[in-house]
Amino acid sequence: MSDLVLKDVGKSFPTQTEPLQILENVSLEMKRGQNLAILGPSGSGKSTLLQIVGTLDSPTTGSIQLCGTNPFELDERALAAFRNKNIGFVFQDHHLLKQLSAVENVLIPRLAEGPTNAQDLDRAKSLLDQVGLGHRLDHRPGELSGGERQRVSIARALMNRPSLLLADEPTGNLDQVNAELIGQLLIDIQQKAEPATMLMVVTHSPTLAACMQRTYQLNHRRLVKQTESKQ
Amino acid sequence: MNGWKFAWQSLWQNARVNASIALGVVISTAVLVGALLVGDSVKASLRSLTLERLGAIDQMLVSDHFFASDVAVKIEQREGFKQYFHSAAPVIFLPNVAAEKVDSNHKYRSPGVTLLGIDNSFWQQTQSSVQPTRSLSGQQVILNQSLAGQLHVKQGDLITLRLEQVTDVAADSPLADKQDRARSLVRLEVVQVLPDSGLAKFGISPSQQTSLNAFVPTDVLQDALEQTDKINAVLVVGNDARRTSPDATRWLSSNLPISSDDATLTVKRIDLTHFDESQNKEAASNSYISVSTEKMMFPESAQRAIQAAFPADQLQPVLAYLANSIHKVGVREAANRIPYSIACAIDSNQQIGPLLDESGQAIALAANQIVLNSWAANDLGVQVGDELEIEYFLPETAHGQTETATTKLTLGAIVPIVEPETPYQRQRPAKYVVDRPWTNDPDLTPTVTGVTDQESIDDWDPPFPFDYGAIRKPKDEDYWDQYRTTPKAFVSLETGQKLWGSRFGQVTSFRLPRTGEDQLQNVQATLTQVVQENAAAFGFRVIPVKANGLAASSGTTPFNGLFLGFSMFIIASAIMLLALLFKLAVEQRATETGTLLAIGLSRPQVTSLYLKEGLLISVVGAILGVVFGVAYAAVMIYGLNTWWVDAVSTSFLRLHVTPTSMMVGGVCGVLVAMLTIWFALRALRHISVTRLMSGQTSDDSPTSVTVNLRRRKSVARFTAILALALAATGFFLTAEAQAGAFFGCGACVLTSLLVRFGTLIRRAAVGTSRTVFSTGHLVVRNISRNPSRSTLTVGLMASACFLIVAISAFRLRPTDQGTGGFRLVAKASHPIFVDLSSADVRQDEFGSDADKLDAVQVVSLRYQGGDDASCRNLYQSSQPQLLGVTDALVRRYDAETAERFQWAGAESTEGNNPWRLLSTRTATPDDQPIPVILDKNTAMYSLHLYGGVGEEFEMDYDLGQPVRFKVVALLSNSVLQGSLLISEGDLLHLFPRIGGYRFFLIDCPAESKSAVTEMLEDRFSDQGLEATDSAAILSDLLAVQNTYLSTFQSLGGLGLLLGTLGITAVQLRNVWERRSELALLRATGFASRRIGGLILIEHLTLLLFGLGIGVAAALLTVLPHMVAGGASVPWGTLAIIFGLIVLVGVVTGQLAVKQAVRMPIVQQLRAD
Repeated sequence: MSDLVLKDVGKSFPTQTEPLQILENVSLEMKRGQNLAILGPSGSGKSTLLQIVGTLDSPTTGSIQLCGTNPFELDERALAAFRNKNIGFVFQDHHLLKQLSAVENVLIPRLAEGPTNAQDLDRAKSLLDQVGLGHRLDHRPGELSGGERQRVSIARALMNRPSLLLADEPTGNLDQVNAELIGQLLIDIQQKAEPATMLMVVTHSPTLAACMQRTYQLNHRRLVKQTESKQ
Repeated sequence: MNGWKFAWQSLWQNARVNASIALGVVISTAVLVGALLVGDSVKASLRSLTLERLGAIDQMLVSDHFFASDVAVKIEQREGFKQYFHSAAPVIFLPNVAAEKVDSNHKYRSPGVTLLGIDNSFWQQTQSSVQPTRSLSGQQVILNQSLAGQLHVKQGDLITLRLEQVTDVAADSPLADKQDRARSLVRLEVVQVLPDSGLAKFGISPSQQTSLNAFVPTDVLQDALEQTDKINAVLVVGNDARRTSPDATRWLSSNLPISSDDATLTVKRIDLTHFDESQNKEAASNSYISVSTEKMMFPESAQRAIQAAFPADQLQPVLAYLANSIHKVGVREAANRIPYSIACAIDSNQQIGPLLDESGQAIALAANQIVLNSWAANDLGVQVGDELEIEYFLPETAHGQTETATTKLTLGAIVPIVEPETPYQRQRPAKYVVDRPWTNDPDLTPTVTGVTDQESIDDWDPPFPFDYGAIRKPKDEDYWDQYRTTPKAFVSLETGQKLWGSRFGQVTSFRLPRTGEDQLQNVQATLTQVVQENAAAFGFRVIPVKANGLAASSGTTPFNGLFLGFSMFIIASAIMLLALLFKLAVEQRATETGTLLAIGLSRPQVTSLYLKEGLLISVVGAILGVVFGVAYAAVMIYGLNTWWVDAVSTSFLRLHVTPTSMMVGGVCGVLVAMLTIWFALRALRHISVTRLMSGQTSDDSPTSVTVNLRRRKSVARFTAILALALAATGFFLTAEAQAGAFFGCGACVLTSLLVRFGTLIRRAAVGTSRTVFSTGHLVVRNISRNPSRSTLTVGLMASACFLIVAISAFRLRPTDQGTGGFRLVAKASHPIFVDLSSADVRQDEFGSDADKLDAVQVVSLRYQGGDDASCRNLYQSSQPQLLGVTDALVRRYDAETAERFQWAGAESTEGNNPWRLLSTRTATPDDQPIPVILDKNTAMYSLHLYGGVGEEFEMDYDLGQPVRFKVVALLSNSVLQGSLLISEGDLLHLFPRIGGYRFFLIDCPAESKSAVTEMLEDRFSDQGLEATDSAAILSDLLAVQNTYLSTFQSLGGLGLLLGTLGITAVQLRNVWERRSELALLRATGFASRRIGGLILIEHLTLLLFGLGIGVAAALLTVLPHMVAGGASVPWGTLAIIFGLIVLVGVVTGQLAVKQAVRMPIVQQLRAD
C-alpha cells in the first residue's frame, strides 16, 4: 500500500474564454523512504502539482491520498494540522522569517501546535547541525548566505518529521556548487536521517534529478515517468 | 514627459494608496478649517447677538438723574441729526429692578431685571424685529420669555416690580432717606410674553446672557417714581442697523440739547424783600442770583465746570450744613443748646455779603471762627470771643449709620437778623417791613425734602436721626415760623468744607451779585452751555452702545486658537497618519525610487517628483478638507450649544462660514501636508541606491543599531532623572506650578518609557534563542520586526493617552480656599443701608429670628456695576464691575484661623494678608495707581493682563480720564472672579454717589445655609437680594475651565481614535509586507484562524502598550493631585474613550486579519 497516491489528478484555472487546463490525469504513487524528481519546462505545471500534493492548492479533478487520508476532505483547521504533521516544504525562495533567528525559524512548525519545549529546541539544533549550521543557530536570515538560508529552510521542513518532504526548485536560486550541496543534503537527510520521509523534488536541474530514485517529466499536462533507479 | 506628467501618472498608478494619503490631508485640513470657523462663529454670533438686541439703536444717552422727556425731540430737531440718525426715543431705563410673581403658593423672584418705561412708538422707532401685538396701557407689563420663565408667569398673570426710589441726594449722605427707598409697581398684568428675540432682549451689557426685560408704559413709571414728564435715557436710532461710526458718537456728544434744568440746576433770583410802606409795595432790600442743584451738593466735576465759566470774583460758593447743636463749650442742658440749625460756610464779599460789618465791609473769618446771628447769640447768651461747640453729623455714612462729630470754634462776630412783621404761613413767606440784611436769607440753605418744605418742626420727617426732645418749644418753633432755614451760624468756606465737605461735593449753591435785568437769562444760558460742554460732569453719558457691543464681540477668548489647541490631537494624528501613509507609500515604491536614482536622477530630482505628486494629492485633499471642515465646525458649534454649553454659558452660537478661514485653513492644510511629505522623504536620503532597489528603506546595519541603542539608553536615563527632579520640585510648589511640575514629570516618564519600549523591542529583535518558543515570542519578534514603526505607533497612542488623562490634573473642584470660607454670596438689586453684621440691626430687622443668625458673619461690600469679567462672559470686558473691599473683610483675614483665599501671587505684605495691600497707596488715585486685587482668570482671560503682580493697567469708566490700576495680588480660582477688588475708599473716590451695599459675603454653618438664605431673601425682597451657595457659584465658574478640559479630552479621544486607524493602516501595511511569511506559516500548518489571532494580538499589543504607557505616565502626573484631592480624573469618561478605542482597534484590526487570511498562499509564496 503506497503512502502517497495521486489518482487522475487534474487542475484547470478559469479564464475569460475557456478553462486553462494545467494538469490532466496525473497519477503517482510513493512509499516512505522513496524520493523522486519532477522535471519539466517553465509553465508546465510542476509547482502547481507540488502545491496540490502539499495541499496548498486543491485539484480540479482526481484524488490524493497521503498516509491513507484524503486531505481535501478535511476542514481548513484540520487540513492545517494535517499539513503541519505530514508535509514539509522547501521553497525556491527560502521564505525565512527575517525577524527570527535560524533556530527559531526551524522551530516554527512546532509552534503551530503550541509553545516549544527543550526537546523541540534540541531537535531544531540537531537539524541545523545536520545541515551544517550548528554554529549559526542565532543568526538572522539577513546574516546568512543564500545556501545557508536554504539549509535552514530544509531543517525547518523536517522539524515535524513529515511523511512527505516537498522541494520546489530548492536549488533554483543557488550557484552550481551550492546547488549541488543542497541537492545532496536533501537526499542525504532523507535517506539517512529521516528514512521514513518521502521526498518529492520539482526541479529544472537534471543533476539534482539524477540523484533521485525516480524522475518524471511533466509534459503537455501529463506526468510521464522517465527513469527509475534500481536502488 | 515632464515632472508634472510623471507625478500625474504616478498619482493614478498608485491611486489607492494616494487616496488614503489624501484622507490624511482631508482630516488635517478639515480640523484646521473647523477650528478657524469655530472662532469666526463665536465672534459672529456675539456680533449678531449685539445687533439683534439693539435693533437699530446706535447710541444711548443716559443720566444719573431724571430729565425732561422732550430732550429726545430736541435731539431729533438738531441740525445734522438726520445725517447720522433716524430717530430718538425717550425711555426710562432701570437696570436693577426686582420682580416677583403675585402668587399665594410660591415665591418666584427675579432680581436683576431691566425695566424699560416706553411708549407705543418704542417698537416702531427702534425698528425692532419683534413687535408686541398688544399695546400697553395702565397697569400692564410686557415681559420677555427669559423673565417670564424665571417668574413662571404667563399672559394674564400678575407681577410686582420693586424699583429703587430715585433721589437726587446722594444715598450715603446723612440728609438722604435710606429707609423708604423702594417703590413698587404692584399687580401689573402681564399682557404679553415676547420671545427672546430682537428688542425683547434689549440690553447694553456685553454679555451673552439674555437680559431679563420688562416693559411698562412710561407714564406709569413716572407716576411711581414721582418724575412727571421725565425720563432718564434716550435711545438714538441709527440709519443703518448694522453699522455705526465714531462720528455719530462725536456728533451726538457735542450736540446734546440739554439745559441747566435737565442737569438739575436751579437758577433763580433771590430778592430779600420787605414791604416799603412809603411806596406801599414790596421792595428788595438785597438781591442776588442763586445757582443750586437738586442733588443738594454739586459734584466736584460740575463745581469745577461752573467755576470755570464765571469770573472767580463774581461767583460765591456756599456750603450749607446742618448743625445738630450749637452751644457753649461744656453746656449739656438742652435749654441752652440750639438744636438743628443751619450753618453756612461762605466767604463773604462786599457785594452780596452775607457777613458785613457795620461799615459795610465783608467780615473775613479765621479758620477757627464762627459767626452767629443775633437771634442765636442772644439765645445762647454769648459774646464775641466765647468758645462754642458745634455738633454735626459726619457728612458721609456707612451702613446708614450717622455719626456725630463735634468741633470747637470761637465766636468771631454777631450779625444782625431782623424779625419779620408776619411769620411764614404755609407756602406764604414771612413779611418784613424793614430792610433785610444779607444774613436774613433762608435761600442760603438747599432744599431737604421732609424738612425745609414743612410747615412746622412737628411736621419734619427728616432722613437723619432726629431728637424731638431737643426742640425747645416754643423758642425753636418760633424761629422756624419766622425764619425757616435762615442760617444761624456762619464759618469760612474753608472751615466748612473741611468739616462738611465730602465725596458728594463741597458746595451747595453759588451766589452771583445782580448786574442787570436780563442777568437771570444770561446765567441760565451760560449754565446751559456749561452743561452741554461738560455733560459728563453733570451726570450725562452718551454710550455708543452699538460700537461698544461690536467692539466687545471680538471676545475675550480666541476660540479659533482654543479649538486649534483642542483639536491638536486630531491634527497631530492626521499628520502622523499622513506621514505614516506617505512613508509606507514611499517604502512600497522603494524599488522605483532606487531605479530612478540608478538611471541617473539626482536625489533632489526624485524628491521633487514625489513632492509634485504630494502637492497634487494635498490640493485635492485640502479642497475636500475645507468642505469637511465646515461640517466639523458645525459639530463643534453644536457641541458648544449642548454638551459643552458650560463653556459659553448659553446656547447662542450659530455657525458662520467665512471664505477667509476656509482659504487660510485650506492653504495651511496643503502646507502641513507638504511639510509632512518632505520630512517623510528626508528619511530616504541616507539609504543607498542598492538597498532601495532591493526594496529596503531602513538602515539596520549593526553599527547603526548599536549606536542608536546606546543613545536611547542615555535619553531614557536622562529623562528618568529629570522626572525624579521635577517630582521632587513639585512637592515644594503649589497650585498650577505644582501641576505643571508633575505634568513635566509625567512627560519625562512618558519619554523614558517610550525610549525604554523602543530599546526593548530592538533588544528583542536581536535576542537569542530560548528553550521555550511560543506564539507570544513570535508576536514580540513580529512587533520588533520594524522597531521604528512600532515605537512610532505606540508613541502616538501613549502621547495622546497621556495628555488626555494627565490634563485631568487641571480639572478644578470648588474648595474652601476658592470661597475664602464664605458659604454664601448675596447680591442685591438695590443697595442695603443697614449693617447686617450688627446685632442691633439684626434684632431690628429679624426680631425674634435674629438669634438664628448668631453664628453668621456677613461682610458687606460696595458695588459699582459694570461688565462681568469672569470667564463665563465671552464678550471683551472694557468696564469690569468693581467691589469696594471694606475693613471688615481685610480684618477677617488677619486671623490665622480664618479660611483664606488661595493666592496665585501677591506683593509681600505684613501678616500674610494680601488684602492689606489694597490700602497701601500713599497718594490720591490721580497721582498713584489704585491697588487692585483680581482673580487670575479674570486678569489673564478676560482682561488679558499677563504681567502678573505689579502690572499696571488702565480702564475707562467714563470719568473724564482713564483710571489707573496696579495689580497687588492675584486670587486663584475664587468666587470673586469677574470683578476688580479695590479698597472701599478708592471705590468711593472714583464713584462718590455709590450708596449702601449690594454685595455680601456670608459665612455661616453648612447646615444653616438654606435657613439663612431664606431669611435674608425674605427680609430684603424689596431690595431684590438673592443669596447663592458660593460653592455653586464657584462650580459654575470652574465649569468653564473644566468644560474646556472635557472638550480637549473629547477631541483628544477623537484624535486617539484616528491614531487607532493609523495603527490599522500600519498593520495593514505590515501584513502586506509579510504576506509571504504568513503564507509560509500557513504552509507549515498554521490555521487561518491562528494567523488571524497572531495579527490581532500584535495589533492589540501595540494598542495596549500605547494606552498603558500613556496612562502610567499620566497617573504619575495626577497622583499628587489625587492624593491632595485637587485632581478628579473622570474615570468614567476615560473608560468609555479607551474602551471605544480598544473596540475600534479590534474592529479595524480585523481588517488586517482578513487581509492576512484572504491572501492565497500559493500566489503569496510565489510573489515574494
